[in-house]
Amino acid sequence: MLKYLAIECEGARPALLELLARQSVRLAGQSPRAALEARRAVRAGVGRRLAPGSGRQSISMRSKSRTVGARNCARRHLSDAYLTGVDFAGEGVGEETTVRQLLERTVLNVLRPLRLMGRALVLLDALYGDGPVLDQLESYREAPAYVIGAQKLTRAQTTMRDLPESVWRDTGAQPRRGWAASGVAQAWLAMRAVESQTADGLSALEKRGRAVLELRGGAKPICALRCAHPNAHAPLAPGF
Amino acid sequence: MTSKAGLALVHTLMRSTRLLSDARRILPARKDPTQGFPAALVLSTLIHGLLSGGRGLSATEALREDEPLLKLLGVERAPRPRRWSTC
Repeated sequence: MLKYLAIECEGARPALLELLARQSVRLAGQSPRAALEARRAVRAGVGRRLAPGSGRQSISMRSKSRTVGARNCARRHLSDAYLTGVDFAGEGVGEETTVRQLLERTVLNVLRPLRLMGRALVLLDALYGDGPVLDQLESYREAPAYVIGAQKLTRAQTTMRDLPESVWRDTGAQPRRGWAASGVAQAWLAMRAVESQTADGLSALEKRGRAVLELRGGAKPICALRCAHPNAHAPLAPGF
Repeated sequence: MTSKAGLALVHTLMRSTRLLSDARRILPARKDPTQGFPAALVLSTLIHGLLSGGRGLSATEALREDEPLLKLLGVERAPRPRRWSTC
């Protein structure tokens, strides 16, 4: 539809995004509040369409009854949740920029009108785990909780490797992921210069005192930054 | 008779969420308004076509041949997939 409108109409892209946001507000607004929340948090996740190199991004809210794993994430977003935005990264525009714009639109046009911002738990994978995204998330006055993949932070990998065995909690084999064994540990990530290269040169995480690094080990380690506001009981999503 | 009468429920949902009226109001007019179908009509027929098992832009083809369904949905004609071929 986006492609058709781009060819046939002027200014179709922002109009279609506005239409999508209005529909999300209407549908979510008619849903019971409890159905939108899981563990007292409304999850807002970003996914990338599976077609490689398409640069298409979507952001959606999930309903309580659904659990979304990393696999087929975008497809499930389209079928199981309220899709609040979908866009193509234009020529010369990076995926991170597109995601930040989608996030901003979702906050302004969907989450705030529905008064869900205070309950929001933003889920982003490691591709978007950089300083500008963190800065944007923390600029919102409602201080939404977030879980962001930390694969891009080399310091996270080092920290995980150096953790003593005693802090790891065994979570057993996970055959679906091809893991013979897995475990979970939490650690504070303290560093002077996180890879975000923030303008003031300070560590992004030093400014974020509540950020917790939660790590899951398997054949391929997975790390995530977690920042939860005090009243949103928000453990890591099953996908992490 | 139509085997896709269930789409009437989808149409009812679209009306209750004001999708079509919003689309008519928000989506911009075609560059050449004398040609082709309005964007809101393309949107609705594409949604119905995809939900009835169609794939891609050719999803509207099944609707074109189903006159009872078009009557049920209050649509005179559905866009021809060939019309989309440049997309």
